[in-house]
Amino acid sequence: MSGFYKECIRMAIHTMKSNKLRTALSVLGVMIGVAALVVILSLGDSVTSNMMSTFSEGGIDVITIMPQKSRNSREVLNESFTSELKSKFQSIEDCIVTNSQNCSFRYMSETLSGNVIGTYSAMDDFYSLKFDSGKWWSLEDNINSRLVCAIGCDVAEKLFPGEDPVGKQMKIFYRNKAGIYTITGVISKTDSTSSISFDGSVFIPFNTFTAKVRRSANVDSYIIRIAEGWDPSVESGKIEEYLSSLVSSDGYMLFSLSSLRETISKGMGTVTMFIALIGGISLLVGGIGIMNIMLVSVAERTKEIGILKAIGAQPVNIEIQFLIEAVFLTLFGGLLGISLGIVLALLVDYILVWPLSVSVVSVFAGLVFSVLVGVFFGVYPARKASRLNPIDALSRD
Amino acid sequence: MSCVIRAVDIRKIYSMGEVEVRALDGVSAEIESGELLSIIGPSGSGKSTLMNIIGCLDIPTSGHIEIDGVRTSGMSEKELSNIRGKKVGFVFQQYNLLSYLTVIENVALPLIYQNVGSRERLERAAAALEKVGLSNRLHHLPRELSGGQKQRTAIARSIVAEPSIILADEPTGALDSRTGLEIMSLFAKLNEDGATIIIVTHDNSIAGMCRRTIRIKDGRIDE
Repeated sequence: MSGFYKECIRMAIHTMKSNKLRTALSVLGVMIGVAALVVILSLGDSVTSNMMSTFSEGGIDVITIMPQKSRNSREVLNESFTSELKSKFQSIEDCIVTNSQNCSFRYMSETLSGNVIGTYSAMDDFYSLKFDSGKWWSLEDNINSRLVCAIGCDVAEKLFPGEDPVGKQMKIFYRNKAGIYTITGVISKTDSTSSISFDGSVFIPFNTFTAKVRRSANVDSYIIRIAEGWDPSVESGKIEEYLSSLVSSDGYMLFSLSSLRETISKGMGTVTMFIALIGGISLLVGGIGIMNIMLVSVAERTKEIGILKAIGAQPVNIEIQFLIEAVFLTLFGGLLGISLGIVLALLVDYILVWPLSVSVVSVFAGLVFSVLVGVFFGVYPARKASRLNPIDALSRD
Repeated sequence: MSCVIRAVDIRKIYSMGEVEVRALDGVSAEIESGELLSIIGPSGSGKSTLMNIIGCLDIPTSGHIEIDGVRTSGMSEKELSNIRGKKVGFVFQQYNLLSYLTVIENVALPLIYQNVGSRERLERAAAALEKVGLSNRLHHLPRELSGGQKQRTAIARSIVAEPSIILADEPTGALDSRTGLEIMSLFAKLNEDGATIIIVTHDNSIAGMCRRTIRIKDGRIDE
């Protein structure tokens, strides 16, 4: 049987070659469909791997709750709420509060304004912050309400151009007072794709913040870290449920990267569905085009079919021959589509400045789909060819 | 001698609306192994229909055909194509070669459908082409051949599967008379080597070169 298949493939290639323009036009639909398929799958992969790499750097297991002004939120959401949360949820590894205030900073004659964040030394672990130089202030600094700070890289750059700020002192102005703070470290630049940036912020111990910047029991935000082995998005749902049982829904805002990631994923899902729909329609139209061209081919080669039947070709031989031709057409279109898809995916990746990844799966899926289209839309013309009456076929010119 | 073809009371009726056309109206014939037979008749006499029925390309309305003692009536399309491939070799007026295959590929083509391996196919095709005197044209395309060479290729294709019978429908019809004579002498030589050959023609001089002639007129054998 191998000789037969070899001959079928030769005949298929011959037909495609002898009608080059027709071949090119008839595979266009399949090409576009497969290209769309490759683009979706590659982009989907690319976006997913990007989000993963961004979020895995730190923060994916972090949930932030920001109390808002409402009837009872100030009573419930105070500093002791952290221990309440910790005892309520086993999944919470750690929970700290932060307060922040917009202030201005000065060193020598340079002045800059930005956020001063009062927090605990554990904050460092929450976002796995890296340091360009120096380090985070210590636990004792907080206990003793010392005037120390860790500054974001933008602050360092603007106030201390060309200098190492560690160990130097800068002035922080809040309301109508000011304090002189010793810098313990400079935090590295946040990844441009990350959703949280501390580049323009200054971190001081929570107790220092309460003593110097703002005397109030109000908490600006709770930062919660979920322990390993728990799904952060599920836990954030549970915590939100618990919160809503205590405080009216406008009394807090809850924010987590994991739920943000889910929202992005859902958005991506919609985009993917849309492109997939275009690809699907294109493959369908392409398939119909293939069917049409195969019917034309059968009509044109009726005489040839008659000859093959006269020399002993069985109906199944004729059917397979035309089916192979249809599959070759769609496979050709599929290969062109894969090439086009890869170029488009690379282009999109290049424009969006994402690390590119053309997935092997998408190439494989492109091939499989093009073959399936060929088989599905080739069967009818092939069967029609195989059922031709040899006498009628031979008498055709 | 054994009987290769037995046709028993063959009728073929085409109904065209109200009108019935009796292409064949009760034809019976026996063809012995090793015969060189001509079927002659004017156009529309039914001789081509008879040839198509003998060659299993067409099915009679009534009556039946036996090839090598096997009745073909009631056979499926698959079984009929098997008979066509193994028992019958066709030669047509217009050669009916595939334009994109070389001479040897055209000749080897019927063997593909009988699952003959590629090496054996080419060997047998080359042997058949040697018999028809075309050993020097194996790798030419049909368009590079003269009419006589094309018909020789077609004859080689008809004998490559060593069929029980060769059916030639006006094999000289498209050729000049000299080339036609060459083709006829080739048939005579193949017949001497043992092939059973039926030649359908309307040309008396061609029929005269065969050992036996069946005359068909208005769908009947004209005694």
